[in-house]
Amino acid sequence: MEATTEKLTSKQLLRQLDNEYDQRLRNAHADGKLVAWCSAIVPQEFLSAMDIIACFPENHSAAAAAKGLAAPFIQYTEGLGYRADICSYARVNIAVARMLNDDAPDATEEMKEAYAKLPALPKPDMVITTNNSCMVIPKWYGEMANYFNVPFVCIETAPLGKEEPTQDRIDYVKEQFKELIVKLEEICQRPFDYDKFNEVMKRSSRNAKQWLKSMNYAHITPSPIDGFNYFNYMSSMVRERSEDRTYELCKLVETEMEEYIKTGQSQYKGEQKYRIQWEGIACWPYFGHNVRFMKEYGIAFVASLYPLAWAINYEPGNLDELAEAYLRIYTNCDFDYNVAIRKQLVEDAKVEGIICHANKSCRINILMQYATLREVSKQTGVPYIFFDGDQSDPNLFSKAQFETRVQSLVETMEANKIQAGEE
Amino acid sequence: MKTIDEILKIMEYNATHVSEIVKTLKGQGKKIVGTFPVYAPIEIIHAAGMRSIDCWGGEKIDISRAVSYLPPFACSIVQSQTELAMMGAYDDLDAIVCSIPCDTFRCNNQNIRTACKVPFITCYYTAMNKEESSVHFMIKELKKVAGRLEEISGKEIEEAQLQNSIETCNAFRRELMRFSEILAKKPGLISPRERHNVFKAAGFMDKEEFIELIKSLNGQLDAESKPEFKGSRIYLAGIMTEPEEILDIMDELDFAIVGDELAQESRRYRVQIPEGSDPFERLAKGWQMQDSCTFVMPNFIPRKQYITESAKALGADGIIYCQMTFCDPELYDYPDTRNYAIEKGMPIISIDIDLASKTFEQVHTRLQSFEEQISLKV
Repeated sequence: MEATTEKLTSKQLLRQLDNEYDQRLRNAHADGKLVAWCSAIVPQEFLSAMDIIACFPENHSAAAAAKGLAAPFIQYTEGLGYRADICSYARVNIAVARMLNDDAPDATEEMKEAYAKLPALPKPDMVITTNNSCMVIPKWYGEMANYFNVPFVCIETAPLGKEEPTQDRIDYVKEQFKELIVKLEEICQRPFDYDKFNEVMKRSSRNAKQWLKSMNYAHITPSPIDGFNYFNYMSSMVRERSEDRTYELCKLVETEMEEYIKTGQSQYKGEQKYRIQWEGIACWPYFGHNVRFMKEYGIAFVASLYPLAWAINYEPGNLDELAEAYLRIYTNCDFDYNVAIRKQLVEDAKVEGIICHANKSCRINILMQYATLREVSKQTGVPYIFFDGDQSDPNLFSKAQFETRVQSLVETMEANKIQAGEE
Repeated sequence: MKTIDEILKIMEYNATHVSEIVKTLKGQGKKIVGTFPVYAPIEIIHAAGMRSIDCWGGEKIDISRAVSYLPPFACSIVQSQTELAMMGAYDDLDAIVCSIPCDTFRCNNQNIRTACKVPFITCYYTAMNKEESSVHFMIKELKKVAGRLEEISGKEIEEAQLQNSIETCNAFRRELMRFSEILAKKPGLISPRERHNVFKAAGFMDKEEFIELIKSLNGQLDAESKPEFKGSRIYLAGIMTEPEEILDIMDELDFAIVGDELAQESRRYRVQIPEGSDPFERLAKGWQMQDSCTFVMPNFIPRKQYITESAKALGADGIIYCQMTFCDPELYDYPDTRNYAIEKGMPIISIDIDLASKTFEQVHTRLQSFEEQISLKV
């Protein structure tokens, strides 16, 4: 991190880290670094140990969508024959890959202009993924590895049933870690750096604890943190989970929250009338609209499992725990576990309502939600709504539907408050 | 000896009367295991003395209860499975085994557990199946499944019995593949629907009974003279070709199926379990050999290449890619498969497969135009 003369806020620091990361990616190959395209919840400890720069197409596509730049890429990919039914992050990335490879002679002017505005994404020297967050990842990233003709590894996490992970599932991940090390040694043409690996594990684990601690400030009433900022801060956790700079960001968030608590202030401007839990990925093309509309009604976003998926906690050096941490991503867990962690979150964060983004792109994040939220609501009494949308595709969201459903949730939460007051 | 027509009638009955089959088996006190798509440890179920029954959803089922579990963008297999589960259609099963080939099934497994109370066994077939770690894991996973089935059946699965069951299932797979090969050599001998019925019945019938019938069928088909066939030779790719009206359209257009890599048909039967002294290791190594499949990677022979080259080798005039709507793995494979096939001069078309469909005019029109395209080429 570059030295600065004045004290930065966490948002300013995040922006600075974004820019520095962008520069590192732009210069990666010129600096003699190898670049790995990685899925979001990859065991990047192994990559950091080998000084490989990890970059994240999912983050990249999300950034494109949040900047309103996704549409031309999506259109281009669909023109290649991909259906609108596949993940829109992939639909953005497939077109981006063509641009990156100077392989889109029919690119529209709109797409060229959008491409120029995107954050950096260097060509991959390898593609390293997991399937814990979703099973689309190996398909999408495998295709990208084929397209760029680079090595591909997927650390496979067998889905967990009740009372799992058993040792069998942990052992499978551990054995794949060993296979990954061999492959990284082949790719990098040097022995795996176990000393650095141990240091990286220590930093990653420390960062995960700090991330959880900083995000959990939202559990306080009123919340000093604006939960929508989860989605911004998490970009640093996704891309550089083991770096000191990420720790400094998380630590700065903590310092700010302590300061807000002392002065009775909050990042959230205005009265916090209702505390909600957000389920699923943000609806990036309409993120600004969603935030503004919810603020009009005094809705404070105080809980979400999605950003907390990067609180990957384990005892450094304990490979069983490391393997289990990557297995225990909620999307890889069974119904009972998913209900239990949501119930806990509702209770810890004193949630009054749940808003679930029925994200067409992400089957893993939505197909279990109907039953899960029904059960969470039954056990906690907290109401929930679904709204239709997509993480990148701007064509799948209706402002009117979102607003009507949020209004109906507000009415239910208000009625619950009145009823609770009467009791 | 039963004639070809008689055997095909038996196959048709079995392919279309699964509820009756289950009720009869229940009446006989037989334990029944429902097997969800795509892959299932049929050898272990057989060795446990239980009957495996395919549960690949149902055709033309009105989806009403399932909407409380699933949004519209879940594939029609899981939509209909959930509906069936909530209707009580699975209540007579003693267990359900699911391989979790995709995110939709990863979620639906959990949904089905709450929608019906049949004991549920996950048998996770690895996607990265070529690695040694996968073989080691599969041995343990298959042993876990065997243990659960032993608890449910109350019968210990002996190693020798499992070895026998592997041989039985190898014979079962071999005869199914032979059936497909004979039809490739003699297009027009039976209709697309009759061919499908045989593959479908294989998922419901007693293995020994099925082997006996299909051996007889293969022998008789082999002895038949090659019919004069002026229609189009078609290779099918995808998950499945249902509702069956689609097969009737193919029949009407004078299509003969000369081969397939459908998950419901040849794909899950084309690998022979290799020899070995440890039956679980044999099964795990058999899984390692599964290739050119959308659910495993990396494939030694890319699926696009397998589909195109198989179609060419079988003398197909064209490929019909039966695209299950909202099936992520298949959706990712199609553009490359299409481009590769066209590059190699093999006509290809995709049709949408939605089990809930009740009207088929769109498919009819697409296949009609495909037939014209193929005819023009000729």
